[in-house]
Amino acid sequence: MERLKLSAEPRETGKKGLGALRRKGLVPAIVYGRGMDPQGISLNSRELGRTLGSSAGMNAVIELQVAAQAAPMLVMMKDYQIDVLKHNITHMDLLKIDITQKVTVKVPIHVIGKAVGVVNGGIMEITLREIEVKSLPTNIPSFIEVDVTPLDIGNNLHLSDLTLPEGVEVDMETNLTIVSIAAPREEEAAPVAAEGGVAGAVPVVGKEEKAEGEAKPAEAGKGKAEGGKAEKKG
Amino acid sequence: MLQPARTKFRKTHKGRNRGMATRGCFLNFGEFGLQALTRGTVTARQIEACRLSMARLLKKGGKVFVRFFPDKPITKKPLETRQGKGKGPVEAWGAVIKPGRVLFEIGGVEEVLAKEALKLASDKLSVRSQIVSREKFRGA
Repeated sequence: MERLKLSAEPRETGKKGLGALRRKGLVPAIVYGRGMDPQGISLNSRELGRTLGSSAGMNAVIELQVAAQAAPMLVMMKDYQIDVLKHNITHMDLLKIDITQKVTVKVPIHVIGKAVGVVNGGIMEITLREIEVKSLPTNIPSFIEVDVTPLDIGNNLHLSDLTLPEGVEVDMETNLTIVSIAAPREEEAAPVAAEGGVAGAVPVVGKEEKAEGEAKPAEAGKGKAEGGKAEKKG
Repeated sequence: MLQPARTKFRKTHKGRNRGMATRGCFLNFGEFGLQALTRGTVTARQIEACRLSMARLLKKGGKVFVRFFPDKPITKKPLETRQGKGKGPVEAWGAVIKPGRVLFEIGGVEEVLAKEALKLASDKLSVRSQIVSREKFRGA
């Protein structure tokens, strides 16, 4: 795995001034890990984008050089927050790592090939898109390739079928399904108009159940409203 | 059309639609999705129209995931009715949509076809939306 470089400026931790930082094109971040106090930093968003766009993706080992610190530290991306509409990273968590200790990370699964079942009209359903693996930071694969070509309709591919690189082990207890080839679906049924007008009658449970018993759902609104008013008047 | 199987109360207050979506903002099932950019209410009829148009385009291939459910009763007073006499009957079921909500997802088809299907759905909704892919969320 390639080692990337990232420079950072120290910042005060806390919410104050984060908006101003982001307007300047910086991304607030925090770096933490064993043997150090959490330290607030700010990263250049362009530089961060380049790092994330590398082949290593989110599992890159980064040499983080914080200004006013003599030696760089090795970190990995632990977590991030994004703006859901613009898809910009708004905050980043970096974890200080020990290069000799194994880490647990999520590695994406890349599906390659066209399954026999898909050629025969089946639908490929990818149920697991990334897996948790345990490995030394230097051995983490960028992605794990899964060849689905031999899969026919009704066949599944499980975690146990994966061949992982040396020194990498799956850190998931259950033997989950990764890809399945489902049979082609039947013709879409025409939408059934709900009974009792536009919105069908929906049974009401709970507090209004009593009132519901007296009047039919479609007419209950009128009946109850009138009843309520009569009570107020009384 | 989609509607709850049973409810605790027959009618609800109109309420106010504020804030951004904090859940259901990421693609979880398919490769491409339709994400709401504005806020509003999407009715069960609109969802059905979107679903049908996408299913017709995709024919037997691919899978469409509807990521929201119309669980809010929408009432309407009958025509030519004077004001008062209580709240009108339930006419439709709607889903309250906030910006950022992923509405539909499509999996198992080519990008061009998926985007065409999502465009069809987008045209039938009462909220503005954008097509999103997994790369945009950086694998999230």
